[in-house]
Amino acid sequence: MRILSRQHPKYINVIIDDTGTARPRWAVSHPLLQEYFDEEWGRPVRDEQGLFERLSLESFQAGLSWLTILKKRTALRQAFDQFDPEIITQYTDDDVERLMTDVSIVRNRQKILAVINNAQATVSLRDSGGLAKLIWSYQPELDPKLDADGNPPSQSEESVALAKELKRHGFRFVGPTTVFAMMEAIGVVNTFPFREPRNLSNTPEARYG
Amino acid sequence: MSETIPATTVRYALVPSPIGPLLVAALGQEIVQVAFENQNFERVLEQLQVKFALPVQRDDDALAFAAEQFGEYFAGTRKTFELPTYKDAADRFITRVQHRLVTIPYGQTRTYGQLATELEKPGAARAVGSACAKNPLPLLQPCHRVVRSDGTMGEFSGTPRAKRYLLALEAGENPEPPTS
Repeated sequence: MRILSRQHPKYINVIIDDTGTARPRWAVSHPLLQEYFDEEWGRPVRDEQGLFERLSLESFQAGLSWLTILKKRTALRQAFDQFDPEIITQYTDDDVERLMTDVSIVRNRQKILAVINNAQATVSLRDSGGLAKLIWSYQPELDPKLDADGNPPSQSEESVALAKELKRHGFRFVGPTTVFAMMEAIGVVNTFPFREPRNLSNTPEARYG
Repeated sequence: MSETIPATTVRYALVPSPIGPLLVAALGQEIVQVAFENQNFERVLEQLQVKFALPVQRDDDALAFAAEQFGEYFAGTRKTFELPTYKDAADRFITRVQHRLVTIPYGQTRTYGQLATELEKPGAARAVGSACAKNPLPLLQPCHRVVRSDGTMGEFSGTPRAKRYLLALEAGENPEPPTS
């Protein structure tokens, strides 16, 4: 079915479809991206396993397109035992080799080793409150400003600080840009104010006017 | 002996039991999944379709051979299942834990820590718990026989009540079916 869409009058990277639903331009470029945006992106994730999966997917993305990651997501979940950090802490060299020969996933040794390393870091974090508490403690008071085209920034003061804190706790492949993308994806920051503003006193006009 | 079913479709049946309907799925003659109602059958079926990249179809007749054994188990007349099961090829921690479960005899229990030690992974009790909770073949690979060291139920893909029921059944206690 052809969907007639138009640009937002002010922001060229915000696309409005014929039902009036607004999406970022990236989210209308492929059905998988649209489904991901509609159903998951920006929706709050607060459980450890959910957060660990999303952090892992974002770190796999570095240097690849997000569409590539989404296409491989089912295979990645299958290969990494549904991203259960507890189970991944038990991985051995055999698992690394299994993953390195699995053509259905992202076969990058450094990224695979980072996921295994980060599973251990996630389990260790439980003593100091856990991954969810740590990540959500970096939620800013105000959401980041969009640029003139409607694009969000690629990192923020909070993502720089959270990346630093994650590294201090032993996490790898968690730079400020990766961390910011995760913060957007799991609803810690809202960089798309045209859908379900978090609260009415914080409307797009008030924030982005 | 029933005719051989071509393994181009995952077939499943809903088998009644005192702990609620069980979803039992097979590829050919091999059981690939046993699931409890609380796991959301719709999601289980979706995952089967993704895992095997095959159509998934309800076919109670094709699974009658398995349903019969579940019936006997819940009647207390069967202590060991004699059903071929699908084994994931990769040798993973999770599959080693799950395959190990069949060594726990009917009516007995192990703790997560004991199982971890048996697998030469002392200290991995919590990971063993996670692996048990992901067991695709509960009852056949009896994860309900693994309990916490403090005697509480611990991880299980069904409800804690269902786990308690199974342990009581195997202890020969003739338990009341859980109401939910």
